[in-house]
Amino acid sequence: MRPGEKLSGRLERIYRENRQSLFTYALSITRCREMAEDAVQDAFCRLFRLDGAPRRLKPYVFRAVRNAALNQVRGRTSSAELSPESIFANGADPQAAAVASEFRERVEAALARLSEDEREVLVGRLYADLTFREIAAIREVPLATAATWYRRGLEKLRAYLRDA
Amino acid sequence: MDELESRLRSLPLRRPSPGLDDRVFGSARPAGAGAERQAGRSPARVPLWSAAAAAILMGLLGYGLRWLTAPAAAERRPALPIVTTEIIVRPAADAMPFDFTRPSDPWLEGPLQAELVHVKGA
Repeated sequence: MRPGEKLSGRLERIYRENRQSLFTYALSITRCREMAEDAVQDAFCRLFRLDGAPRRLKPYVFRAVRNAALNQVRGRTSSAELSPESIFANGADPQAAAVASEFRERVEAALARLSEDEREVLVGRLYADLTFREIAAIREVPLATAATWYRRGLEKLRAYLRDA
Repeated sequence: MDELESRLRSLPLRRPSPGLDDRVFGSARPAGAGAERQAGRSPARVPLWSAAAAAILMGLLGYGLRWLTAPAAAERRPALPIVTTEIIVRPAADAMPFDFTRPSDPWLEGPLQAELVHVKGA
């Protein structure tokens, strides 16, 4: 936290520094790009109305986005679940994209086989650049639990990719 | 970080739409924010003498306007006393008017006698 910085300024800085991470984290939960963006917007809409700043703002922001994403999932119609969207994009280079595409599809399939906790921690650690301490604060679990979910999830992923 | 983690991290991520920033910061600064600030501002100070002068002026204008537009005084008539008038109509002949034994006879047949009775009311 920078001295004298107001809450709205801190929130704006956190958003700008973690824009991609927040979106990816929300997308991994909603599996729908539009809903993920709605979740980020809803969360910040509430965050900007906070009276006082939480002690650790970054995990608080991610937890707010996570809760908003879960709300989106609870409120969606069944038709939205038919075509879940991936957190991964196609590469810009067509040749590289073709090579990466096969690996990406295997990773996607493997991620889908993990438990929700394991998948969420893997996405948070690998694609949202969160530390275990931050993940533990977001999920309100002990640090060791977050680390265990990650280690277990990564080992399962390794096994699924080897077998595939 | 092992080799698998590096490979996983290298996968390109889907990006949010460019409009997300506007949506997020639009929610941070709602349209009503300016109006709320206006509403929260204390009202402009007006000197007491000018407020009193304006009140007197408006009063005089209102009185003058009423005087100009008021209709001429209506002619006043004293209220008439309440009088109940009963008109009693009966056949001149001293016949029983409701003689149902002879239904063909009209009960008001023949010359009629009227009597006006004035009863002063309250």
